[in-house]
Amino acid sequence: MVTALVGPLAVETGSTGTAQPGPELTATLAPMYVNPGGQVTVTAVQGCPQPMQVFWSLGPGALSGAAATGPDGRWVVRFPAPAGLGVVPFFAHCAFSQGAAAAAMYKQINFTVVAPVRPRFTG
Amino acid sequence: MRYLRYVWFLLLLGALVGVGTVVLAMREDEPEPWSGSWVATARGVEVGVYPSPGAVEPSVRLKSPTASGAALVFLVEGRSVSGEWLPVHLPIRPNGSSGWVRRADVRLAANDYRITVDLHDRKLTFSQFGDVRWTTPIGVGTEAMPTPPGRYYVKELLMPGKEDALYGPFALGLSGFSDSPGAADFKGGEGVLAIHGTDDPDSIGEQVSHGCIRVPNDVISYLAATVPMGTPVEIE
Repeated sequence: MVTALVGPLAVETGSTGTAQPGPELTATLAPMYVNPGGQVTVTAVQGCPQPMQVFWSLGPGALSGAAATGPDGRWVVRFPAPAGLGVVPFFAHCAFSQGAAAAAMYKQINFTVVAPVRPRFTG
Repeated sequence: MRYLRYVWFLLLLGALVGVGTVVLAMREDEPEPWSGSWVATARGVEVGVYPSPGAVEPSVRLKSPTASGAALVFLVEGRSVSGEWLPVHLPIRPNGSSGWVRRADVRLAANDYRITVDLHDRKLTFSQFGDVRWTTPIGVGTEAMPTPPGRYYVKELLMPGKEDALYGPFALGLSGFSDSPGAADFKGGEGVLAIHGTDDPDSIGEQVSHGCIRVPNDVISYLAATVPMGTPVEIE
């Protein structure tokens, strides 16, 4: 179901790494390359430990948001890609409210924003 | 008496070693100067560029996003970003253009990456934190359309499609231009320099391009996934 939802460019995050608190959870993000303003979809592969909220951001001072999880703790968030080109990190964690202690962390996923034009460089 | 001499000698030796250790420790504690650079990204839809700090009228206004759809970025000159004005390198002709922008008009980000291009040896060097990470052979401009040396920066990232396979999987547009006949309007463009991949791996290491810098496709893929917009590129 996840594969069908996010398409062939999806990259699943790994499940290993340092974890605080608990093991890092995984999600998929698609597309990995997107134009400024293009829609990005992130889908939980492993849900939060229980129904709660997922808080996500693209880094300090960048776009952020929150979404309620489903009864099984899973979630999907969609957002427009930022205007700045290059690699953008996606962070997320589970919590009961804004500012509350994280019940679980998601492994960071990077995606890349590319300009929506054909190159006409000097070749 | 002879015994006392030995004691004094040992005490003196101990003191010298102690002082030396302290001096060495102090030298190790001295902070090294930061080797990175600052990237300024436009906050609004336009940034005025002024000829001097405090000038009333801008000499040019640059739009954001740019014609390629990219957010407008500048490389800040020097490493100090205190004060209300910032000296910046500009992504416009002629090469080497610079000016001043209001700090309030941009967002600042630190950048620890740097790319240097050696035209003579035809190699590109990638550095982080001031340390060389790796070098790679490159293709450069022909004698008729040479790659112009200068201090530039990465201003845009493009992902060419199959119809633009000559650029490889990615192209990093630079702030500089070629003015050579045949290069300045190549493919109907404006002669913008770039670092990009290739569909002709045998051209790496040769003088083959219209001014752009060709790198192996795995190298451009790495750079596309690593360097932020605004990364300095020094071509010498």
